[in-house]
This record gives sequence, structure tokens and C-alpha cells, in this order.
Amino acid sequence: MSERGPFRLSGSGVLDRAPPICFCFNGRRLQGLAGDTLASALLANGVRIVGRSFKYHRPRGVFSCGVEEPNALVQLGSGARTIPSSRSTLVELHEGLEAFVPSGWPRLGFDLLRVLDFTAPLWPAGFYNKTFIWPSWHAYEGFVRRMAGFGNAPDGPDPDRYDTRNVHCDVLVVGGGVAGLMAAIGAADGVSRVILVDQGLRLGGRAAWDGSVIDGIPGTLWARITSERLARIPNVQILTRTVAVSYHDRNVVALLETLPFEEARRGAPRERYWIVRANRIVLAAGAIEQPLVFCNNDRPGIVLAGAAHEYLRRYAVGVGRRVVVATNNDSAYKVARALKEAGIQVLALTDSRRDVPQACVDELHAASIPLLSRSIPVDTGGFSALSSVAVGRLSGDGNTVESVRQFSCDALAISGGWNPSLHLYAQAGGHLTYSDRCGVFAPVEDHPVVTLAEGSASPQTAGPRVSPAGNRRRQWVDFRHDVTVADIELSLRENFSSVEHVKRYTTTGMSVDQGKTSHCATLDVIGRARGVKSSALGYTTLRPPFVPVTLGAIVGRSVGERFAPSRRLPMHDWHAANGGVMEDFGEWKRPAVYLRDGETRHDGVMREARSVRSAAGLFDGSSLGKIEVHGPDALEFVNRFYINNLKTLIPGRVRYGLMLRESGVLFDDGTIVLLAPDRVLLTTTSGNAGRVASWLEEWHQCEWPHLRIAVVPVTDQWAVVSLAGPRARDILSTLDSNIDYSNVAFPHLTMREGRLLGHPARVYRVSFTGELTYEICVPAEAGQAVWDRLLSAGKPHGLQPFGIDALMLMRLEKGFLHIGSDTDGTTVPDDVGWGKVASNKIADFIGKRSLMLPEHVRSDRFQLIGLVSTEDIVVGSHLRTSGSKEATDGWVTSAGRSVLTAEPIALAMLRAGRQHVGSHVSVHDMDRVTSAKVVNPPFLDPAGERMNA
Amino acid sequence: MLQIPCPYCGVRDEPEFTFGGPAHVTRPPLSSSDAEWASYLFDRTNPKGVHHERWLHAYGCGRWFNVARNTISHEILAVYRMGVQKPELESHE
Repeated sequence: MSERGPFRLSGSGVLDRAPPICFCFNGRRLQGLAGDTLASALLANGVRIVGRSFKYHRPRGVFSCGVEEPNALVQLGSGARTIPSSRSTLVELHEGLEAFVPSGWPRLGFDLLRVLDFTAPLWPAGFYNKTFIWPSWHAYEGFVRRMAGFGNAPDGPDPDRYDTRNVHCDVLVVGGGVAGLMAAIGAADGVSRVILVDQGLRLGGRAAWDGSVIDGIPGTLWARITSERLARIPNVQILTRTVAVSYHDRNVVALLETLPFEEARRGAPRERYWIVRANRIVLAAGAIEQPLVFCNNDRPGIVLAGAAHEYLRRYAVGVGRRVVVATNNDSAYKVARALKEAGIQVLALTDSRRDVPQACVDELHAASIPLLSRSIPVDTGGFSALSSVAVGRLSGDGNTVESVRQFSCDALAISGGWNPSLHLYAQAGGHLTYSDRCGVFAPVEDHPVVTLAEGSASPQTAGPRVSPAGNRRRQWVDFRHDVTVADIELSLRENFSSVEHVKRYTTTGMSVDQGKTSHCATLDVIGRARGVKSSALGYTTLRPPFVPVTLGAIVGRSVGERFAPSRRLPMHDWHAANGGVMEDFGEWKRPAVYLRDGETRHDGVMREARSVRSAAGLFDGSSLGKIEVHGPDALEFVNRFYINNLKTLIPGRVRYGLMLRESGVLFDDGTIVLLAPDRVLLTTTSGNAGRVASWLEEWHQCEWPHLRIAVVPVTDQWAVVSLAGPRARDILSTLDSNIDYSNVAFPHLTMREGRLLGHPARVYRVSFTGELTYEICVPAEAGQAVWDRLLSAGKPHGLQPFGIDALMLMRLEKGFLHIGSDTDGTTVPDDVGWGKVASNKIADFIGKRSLMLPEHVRSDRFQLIGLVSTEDIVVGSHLRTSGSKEATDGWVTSAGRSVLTAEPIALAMLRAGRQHVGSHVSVHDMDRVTSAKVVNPPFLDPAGERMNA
Repeated sequence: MLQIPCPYCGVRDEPEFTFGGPAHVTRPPLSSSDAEWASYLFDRTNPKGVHHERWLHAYGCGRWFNVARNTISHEILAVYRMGVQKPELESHE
């Protein structure tokens, strides 16, 4: 044993001979070699306790050598980059690695919470459903979670980058061991696109270290030659450190590639998520070794036999100095021999089969290892770690154990058979069958797309896996969730007897390892307890992902600014540079208010609104939806969408229209203008521009293809500058234009086309503020120039820019509808006072028939009314009319303070609201109850004199 | 994810498309009864087997078309343009 660790053997396995790597485990400074995993380095250093079981706080050691590890899960790193529950068997050792185990108090090696192990009968499966009930679970929850020791979440946003790749291929080979390499070589004809993925650092799988001979040459050499040969074939892509995590509909497989630590530090992504669409998928994902089940089968020092083999040959690490090997199949025999040849004492090999194949007998004999056939471990000893194993001989019927022998040892290598990893096959719809003879799963039928590689090992007949002797409360099935044989039997006694119920009752197979080393044993135990063949039980679904996937990998680059695409107004830069508080309004970034120094937001909004009402304001309304409909049938087509009769529309006149869904519910509002007999211009709300255009297209393509029209969205083509206020005309008239802006020539609710400042312009007189307003549309690239000129022309008149908040406050004063705020998924035209317009229209329109349904003509529907009060009204407050027996009579949809009088005002939906005008309602905002008077909006200028000026 | 053969663009991945509910839903006239109209709005079959439905190639050509899909296997049995009559297909259960 060298300074490379007390359990590091001479020779280095297949590791690089390099300077030692320093790392830190639970505060201890240790050394490992390049190529070590954290687990192999810990084993080399003789670290036996690497975790505490989550319920009983039993000490646990490294159990496996791969993805199936249930014990040696650590918290890696710290701060925002920390990763909880990292399998130390997969973590590549790098200089400065820090890992700790967040379990055990006061420390991992000496854990007082082990008292839970001594009181185990109090904590069977599902105990929390029967205890911790008074006063409530939440009183205990925090404490119980801390005791579980599962790990800590990162304390800040993830600083690492993740990439997503989308690829297509002809053949995806999952697994780069011997079978996978052969399948890839077979598929790689130079033309077909072949992708081979393997979770390890190098291809070759077990052949790279297990000393086998392939085609007459050592496996290591064969693996290297074959990989190099494959890499030279055109159209072949090899991905190492990559796990196929899930299969999705229609042959899409997701891969998770983990980049080496140093590369990620240098700016490469930490992980890549590959989405592969393959014509064919070949599974060569190998198999996962299963444990044997016996009393105290979870002590540190008990490892899977295949893992003991791999630690020995690949990492030159001995799992112990005095080893017992226990198996129920052939595969552990070569492990026993390999351990012996490396200088480790192998005290005995027990095989639960009665008839051991002669080849196995001979192999042991040649290595001078005693064979105990028809035998199984029945118990182990050792308080902190394994110190002894008791082996018993199975009786004739296998139900009892006789003549128990004790072995004093520090490691026990167990093999309960190899369960093939068939997750992708199952997720693709393939069915599995559990073989009673072999104790593992096999595919039932051929799948059209997902095939198993040739040369994949077929299951061997195996002996019993579960010891019949001893206290079943001390026989572990799921290490991670501390589930024992007794727990499974309890579940069955309480009538949770289907495999799916047993799983959920006991939580076996539900932890981060997802039952990789417990699924088979669970079926064995259920079968034995219920007296049925395990193959008849069915099995629990093999859910994706195969290994945990970082959320960051799935999200990829869609974080921060890239989370959702945002759209910018043509004058965005000016807004941002001039105090504009840019906020998200749907997809758009818009200025909520233009803040001045020292001003609160409320002050700014009131200042802007007052300036509009007393002088003038400038508003960027470019996100307004604009859609042209061209064609001989344009007006006939558009008329089918609005509740308004558009047939009477005169060119130049603007009609405000409401659009419904077929259910009669309000969908959008906007304006309609006839530009020419075959050209209609619609406006929509900013948020619905795309939706309305799609809606028009859908009805044209699917329902009325005979109408000769074309839908032409022009939202992005036109900038919209709204000039609003009593001085609007004065300001606008100073600018060079061929449009007559006088009230006589250009009245309210009309539109004029012409030129402004040399640019083509469409100018509307429509008002959302309630003031005299010119909504000026110019080509988007001219928006900034027009904005600048208007600002300077308006300055002497007191013109200020104003944002969304001020706009919304002013429209509230006028009682103007805001679809989506004042309306919801049930609101029909009559609810907001437009019932007559809809019912007067004779021609059919979308939603018309629905308005006649009984539900929509009820007199007690919620109707839009106004509220005034002496106290501030909060949006969302509920309303009660006097004497009401209902839980609620409505709610406040918009609220604020009048711009000129500062009186609290609101719009609200009130049950049979119009009947209650003039009376009072109580307004309920959480515990606060106030009173308000129901009025008809608007709250300002009911005759509309300001707009019509 | 499905692969859908757009009749105008060819086979594309499902995220390029928007699902549009059942196909061949006839809009009743204004003279229909309340029950007929409510059925048009809300009643839908839920077949185990062949389902005729509308799809929109939203991130492609922008055209609507019809698809006959098996709701169990997701196999696409037929694709035909909007306005074309429903093809006769055996329902495989």
C-alpha cells in the first residue's frame, strides 16, 4: 500500500500515472489520481463511511461503481455552483474538488441520530401518515427534512452556461461497450449518420479493464483500436460523458452530455442537452447488478461484486483486505479470482444455487478459494463498518437456513444477477417481463425502432436472492429510502398490494436512484409474501430521466433576457434614455412612466396625466395591432367578425368595434376604417395583434375560403404617435402637412390619409384618454423623427411624454373598456353596455348565435358599472350589495384616483349592476371593508366635449 | 414529438405546428336550436382510434390542413387539404 492511499494497490489499473490530485471530503484533505472518481479516491484512502441513511442514520459506504449508486451521494462545491446528491461514483476527481455529506450530527463519522436506528420499530414505512399529526405536520417538517440530510440547494442563480443541440441521425447507438461498438461499426457505412453515446470517459465499457480477451487480443487494446476505427468513418459522431436520459414520442431521444470540469471553468457550457431524432435506436446500455437481500446487508464494506472488480482493475483500489464473495450467478467467480490474484484475501465464495456450473467450480479451485454452494449470507456485523459475515446453508426447500458459519472480514462483494437497462425500450412502448428463473427483466417483443444490440448478454439462471432467515426489519431493499423487507410486508398487510401501491406506500424505488438496485428485489419480496410468482406481478413504470438532469440543461440558453423574446417600440431608445421605466406589457417593452429626478412613481404618473388634461401629452402607441384586409370581399369578410354593422361604414369614418369568440365572449376591441371599397384597415389591442390576424386567417382558410380576401398584418410597419390634450391641434398645426386638422374638416372618429413632415401618414381621431387626440401613424422608420419634431413643437405649449400608467388612469376616468382587465372569459357585449349594438345587427357574425343562449340573456349577470368612494379602492376587492345572500356580488376590475379631483374611482363587475346604480355596495379587500356608490361611468366629461373639440 | 407531413412543406417536427381541434365541425345556421348550437360549441367526440383533426403550420407556411391520426399510437394515417372531404379509413382499435 502506497502513499496513494492505504487501499491503493500496486499498478494503477488504467489510470494515468500523474501527480496526485488534492481534494477535500468533509473537511479532510485527501489525495487521488487523475482518472479517479471521487468514490474510487475515497475507497483508496480507506474512507469507509460516505453517508448516513436518510431515516435510521445508519452508516453507509460506497456500494457500486456507477449510476446506480444509492449511498455515496455528496454535496459538491458550494454557493451558487453547488450540486446536491451527486453520485461520487460518477464525479471525476479534479484538483481542489470539495465534497461534503450534509448528514450526521455532530459529524458523519459519529452521528447521534443513529438513535433512530435503535428505535427503528417506531419508524416503519409511512410512519408520517400515522404520527406527527398533532398539531400539524408543518410543526415537524423542517426538523425532519434537515435530519434526512438530502442536501442543500444552490444559494444563487446558476452562473454556468448550458447548450442545447438538435440533431437528426439514421442510427443512434446507446452504449459504447463491446456490443455498442460492434453495432455502431455495423451501422456506419460511411453514408448513414451514426451517433454513438457512452456515459464513460472512454469507449469500450467493461472490456477496457476487465481483462477479457476479444478476437484474440486484450480487451483494452481491442476497445482502443475499434473506437479509433469507428471515429475514422465519415458521418459518425461519438459522444462520451453522455447519458441517454429519455425516449420521447416518435424516436426522439434526449442526451445529457457533461463537459469536463476544467472546460466548463474556461467558459464552455457545463452540460449539453442533445435532442436526437433517430430513424433507428440500438440499445447496448448494459445491465445493472442487483444486490442480495439479507440482514444488515447495507453496512459500509458491502459492495456489488462487479463494482469490486471495477475498482480493482480500473482504479487499482481494493475494497477491503479480507473479502467474502456472495452470489447467485456465474458472474462473481471471476471477481473472486481477480481479487485473490491482486493479493487480497478471499475467504470464501457463497453461491445460493445448489448446482454450480463446473467451470465456476474449477475457477475457484484453481484460485484456492473455498466454495460454499447452496449458501447465502444471513447477517453481518460491525457497528461503523463491516467486520463479519454470517453465511447459512439453505435448506432443501430454500425456506430456512442451517449451519451458519461466521467469517471475519472487512468487505463483502455481492452479486444478485444483472438487470438489463431497458428504459428507452420501455419508454418507447416496449413491454418487459420479469423472469422468475433469472430474477431480472427481459424485453417481450421486438420493437420497430428500438432494438437490442447483438451480443447483449442474455440473462442467466440464478439462485435465490433473498435470505429466508432473520429479522426482516433489518433486511434492506431500497438503501436510499431505508426501505426494508418488513416495510414491504407491512404495505401488503395494509392492503396496498399492487406493485404500484407498494412502491408508493413504502417509497421503494422512488429516490434519486429510481430503484436501479431495488426493483428486482422488491418484486421478489412481494411475490414471496403474496405466494405468487414475481413474474405475474407486473412492474412499475420506468420513468425518464435515467439520471437526474439539471434544469439548466433543459432550459439551455433561454434564461435572463432570452427567457422570452421581447419586442421594442420604434422609439424605444429614446424612452429608455429619457426616464422611461421600461416594463413588460405582453411581449412588448413599453414605458410605464417617464420618471424625473426625485419623483415617486405615483407623482410621475399624476404629473403626466395632469399635463395631458391641461395641455398636451405624447404617447408611443406603436404596438397597436394594425391589420389590412384586401380584396373585393374585404368588407363582407370583416363584417362577420364584429358585433357592429360595418356595411354602413363610409370611407374615412372610424368605427369602434368589438370582436367575439364563437361562444359570445369578448375577444378584442379596436377600430375599423374603410380605406377603399376593397381595402379595410383594422386596429386591435397591442396584445392581440397576432392573435386577431391568425383568427382572421383561420376563418378564411377553414370556413370562408370562397371570400376573395387577403389578410395583411402591418403592425410592425407603422409607428403610432398619439398626441393628446387640449393643445393637440395647436401643436400639430405647426408641422408641415397636407392634412386639414380643423374640427370641421377632421371630426372625432374619422381618419385622414396624407403627408406629415414629408412622410406618408394615416391620422386617426380616436381617444383613449378622453382628450382631443390625434393618433398619427407614419412608417416605423420615420417614427423617431416625427416624435422629435412633435416634442420640440409642443414644448412651448407644455407638451410632455406620458406612459402606460397615465394612459390607463385617464381611460379609467372615462370608463373606457380594457379587454382582459374589465372583461374575463365570460363577459359578453351586453355586460359592458354594448348589447343593443349586437342585437341590432341582423347579419351573422362570429358569436352572434351564442348571445341568444339563455345564459347570456339572464338579468342577474355581472355588469360593468362605476364606483366612487371616499377611500381608495383596491383592484380585486369583492363587492356585496345590501341584503345580498350571495358569497360575492362582484369584484373591482380597475381602480385609481381621478386625475383632476383625486377622488377614488373604479370600474367593477356587479351582479345586475345596472339595477344598482345610485345605491351603495360594501367593498371587501381582505379584512378591510369600505363603502362605495354605484354610478354610471364616465367619471369625467360625460358629454365627451373634450374629445370632440 | 410527432412528425407531421404538411401538404405544402413536407414532413416537419411537431413544434412547428399548432393543433386546431377536431376537423369537419359544421357551423350550424343562425336558425339552429340552442341545443344544436351548444353542441357545436362544446360537444366533442373522444375516439379511441382514428381522429380527424385540424393542424396549422404556424411556424412554416401558415396554412391549415386536416390530419387523420390514431389517438393511441399517434400514427398519422392521412393528411389532406382544408376543404377536402374526410377520407374513409378503418379505425384500428
